[in-house]
Amino acid sequence: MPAADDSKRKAARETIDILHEISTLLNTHLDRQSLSYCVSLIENGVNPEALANVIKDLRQHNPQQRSDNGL
Amino acid sequence: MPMGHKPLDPAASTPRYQEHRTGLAGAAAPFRAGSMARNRDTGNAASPTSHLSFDATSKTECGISQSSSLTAGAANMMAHSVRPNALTDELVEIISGFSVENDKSITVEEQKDAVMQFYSSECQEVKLSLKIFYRWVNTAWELAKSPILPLWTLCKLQESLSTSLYPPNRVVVSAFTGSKTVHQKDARQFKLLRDCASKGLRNQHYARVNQFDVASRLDGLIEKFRILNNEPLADALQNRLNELRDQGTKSAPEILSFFLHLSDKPVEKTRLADLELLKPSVPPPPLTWAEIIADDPLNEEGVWDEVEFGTGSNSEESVSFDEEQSSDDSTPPSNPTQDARNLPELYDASDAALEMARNTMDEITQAQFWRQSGSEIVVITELQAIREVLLMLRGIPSSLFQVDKYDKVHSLRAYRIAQTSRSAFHDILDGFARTGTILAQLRGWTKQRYEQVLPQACQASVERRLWQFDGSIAEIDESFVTRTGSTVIVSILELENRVQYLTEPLSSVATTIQPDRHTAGLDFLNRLYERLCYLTMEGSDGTTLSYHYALYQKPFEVYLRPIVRWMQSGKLLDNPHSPIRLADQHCDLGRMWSDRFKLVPNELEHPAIPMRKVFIIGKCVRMLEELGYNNMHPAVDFRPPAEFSKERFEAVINRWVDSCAAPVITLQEHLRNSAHGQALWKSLDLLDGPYLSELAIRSIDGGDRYVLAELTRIRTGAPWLIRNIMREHNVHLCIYNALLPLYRAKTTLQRLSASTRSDKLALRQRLLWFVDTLLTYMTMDVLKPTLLQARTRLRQATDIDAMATVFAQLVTRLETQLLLQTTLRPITTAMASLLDLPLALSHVWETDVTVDELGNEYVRLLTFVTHGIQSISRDGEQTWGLLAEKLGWGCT
Repeated sequence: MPAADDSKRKAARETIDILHEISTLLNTHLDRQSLSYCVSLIENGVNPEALANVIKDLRQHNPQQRSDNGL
Repeated sequence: MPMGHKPLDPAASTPRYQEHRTGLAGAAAPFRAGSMARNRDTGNAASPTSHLSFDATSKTECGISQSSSLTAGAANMMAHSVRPNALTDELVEIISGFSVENDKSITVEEQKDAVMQFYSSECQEVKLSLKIFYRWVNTAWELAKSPILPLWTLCKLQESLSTSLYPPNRVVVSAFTGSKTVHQKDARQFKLLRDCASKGLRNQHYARVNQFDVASRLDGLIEKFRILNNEPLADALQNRLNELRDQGTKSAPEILSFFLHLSDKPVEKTRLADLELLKPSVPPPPLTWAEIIADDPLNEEGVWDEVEFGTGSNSEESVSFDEEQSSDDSTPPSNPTQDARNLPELYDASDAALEMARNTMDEITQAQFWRQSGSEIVVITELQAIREVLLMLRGIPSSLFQVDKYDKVHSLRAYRIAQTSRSAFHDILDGFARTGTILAQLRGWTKQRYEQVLPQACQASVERRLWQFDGSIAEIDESFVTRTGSTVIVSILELENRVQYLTEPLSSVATTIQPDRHTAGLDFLNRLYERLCYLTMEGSDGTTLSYHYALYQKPFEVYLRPIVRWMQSGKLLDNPHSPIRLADQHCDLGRMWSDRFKLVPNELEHPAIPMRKVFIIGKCVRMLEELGYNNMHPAVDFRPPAEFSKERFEAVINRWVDSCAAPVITLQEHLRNSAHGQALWKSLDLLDGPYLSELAIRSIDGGDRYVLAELTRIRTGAPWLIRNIMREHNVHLCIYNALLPLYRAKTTLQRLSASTRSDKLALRQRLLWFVDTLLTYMTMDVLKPTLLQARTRLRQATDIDAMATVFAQLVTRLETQLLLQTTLRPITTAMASLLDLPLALSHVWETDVTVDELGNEYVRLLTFVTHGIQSISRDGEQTWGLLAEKLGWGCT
């Protein structure tokens, strides 16, 4: 039902908003887009610590991208 | 594989369910242990089939069997809608078996296909799980394409991911490594990634997320904030965490753990203000009328008054212009309206003023050469002269030329250009003036008011050409004004050539239509047509001809409109000058064809249009309408030929009129086939049958009042359509009148008793013979062939006019052949006398006249008649000759 879909989408958006705020408060340097990707990965089973390490590695390797992508 | 599964129940206790949610506990962990063992044992070879007996009936109760580890996972996943974590090493093994060691790069598609093939025999539940699985793969795929994780660093990702115990990662890896589109550039990278992937799976040493641990860490963080006097931050974090908990997101602990891993000294670095930056900026609320009015209520005096625009005079010689020009630019414009007094308060025009060098003003003033008054001749530049000429050609008032009330353009002598002599320049200007005159006259002509459509169409046609011309002139003007970069030659002589080229067609048109004589409408069309014919004869170049032809077409089409209307519907426009006019609107239907409309030939009408045909077509339409046929025929448009030639144009017109002639044919069909038509033939049949003879005989005794009435009834009682054909001719009466005396004579003779004297008898015989001869002549030699001929001709007639003509001719022929013409009066009188003889004979004993005398009279009259007929038959009808011959026998 479209109404249900809408509410689901709305709920998802709210969740991402809250998570974004939390991640900002925790100073994770994640922008909204990256955050949603990571959440998606985690929801699909990626280990959070693993993912965090990877991202740290990536940031290490691409310091110039930091400012661009908010990684 | 002895995994002690307890049947999983969705309504089971939460911790277990949670474990399943996170996907690590419960079914998965024992799997892994077992599968790892299996991996080591069997290497990469996959023998999946043995594991895949899926028990369709058990969903919540997983088949606890060695073979069902995979299926159990799938079943679980289905039961709880969990993520594809539940797909185990089995699947992974299968897929990995395809790729790495064999150094084949397979695409995601290939992998998917392989798995799908594999599972294709299985039931829907497994397929569902695969769907979810692939969705996950695609998400990971999307991630791979995102710039955040550039591909070349994915090896790291693979490494880390594959160290976790999630089999689908393996697929992700393969997916990433396998596809060429993802990373086409570096094959070495591919190998690297693949190696990472293969390594990764064996190393799985990340612990699962402990949500309590996460919660406690977060609490600790919040404490820290509070301790360090950052209450708002602590509160903010606490609130958000509460909200998150309320949302009930499934993988919240994992996500929070992820954040915690990634967090970068929040205690020191986090600023609450950053939170505000997250919010997208709300645009300021749009301005509403209420706000504007609150700010500046529009109820001042004079705000709503009418503003007069354009009160300032625009003429070039006006003083006010000079004043404005010479005054400082920064004074506000004088505004005659009342609310101007508000403006200076609101804004100062000097804000809008531009700085301008003083000499720019002087330059401009000087460029306005027409201001320089004085007796001497002003020198202007060639460019100025050219532009003035272009203005004049476009019909705009210019300073070098003057247009009088007859639309004649004169060039003024007050100016000259530096490069040429005065006289040369004035000659050039005169040349332009002549051209300008032609154009001005044309323009003046197009501006006249006409009431009728046709002149207006003519004007419109010419006007269009004038606009095109104006456009060309404007282009030339534009080339002098805009700086497009290409050089433009400023030469008045060159302009002369160009202008001549452009105006040639228009001047040709002007000579044709002679606008100074105010011709429009039909006159215009006719002149143009003549010109077109002349041009084709002359063999002039195509452009002039096509120009004129284009000019001609639209007005001609407008001219055709009433004709089309007439042919289409038989309706006339209210034009007293049209050739087809209403003559007698309320005439009787029986005379509709001949009397209701009339065709007045008009010399002005287009010579090529066959007016008579058109007239007939319209009348047929009206008659069909009366008969009940309505709008049966579709309109046929007139399509003028693409190129003009007199013959072709006229041929097209004729063809077009013929193509509109369907109503005529319909009417003829109707006459042939319908009841109306039958009446016609029937009445003709009456003519040569015994009908009239009987009538004649009857009338001898009964008086002819009844008979005459009967005969009149034949004519007036005929259907109105037939009456239109027969018109005023009463053929029946005519023949009847011819037959009647003969029958009367015959009857009289027949009634003479036989018991009379022999001389009387002899005369009687002779008279009888005479009457019979005449009767035979009439019926056999005259009526029959004539009527036959008439019938044939009627059938062949193409329209009612033709039929009426046939009828009329029939009557005249009959009259002629029956010797009823007035020119033959002596003969007819003699014949009448002859026919009186029988009566005289029957009364001979009452009178003094003897039979002998009558006999002599008979011979005399007969001879006279015979000779008379003989003499006329030499030049006249053949049948007379026959009659004469026959009568001649009686003379001997």
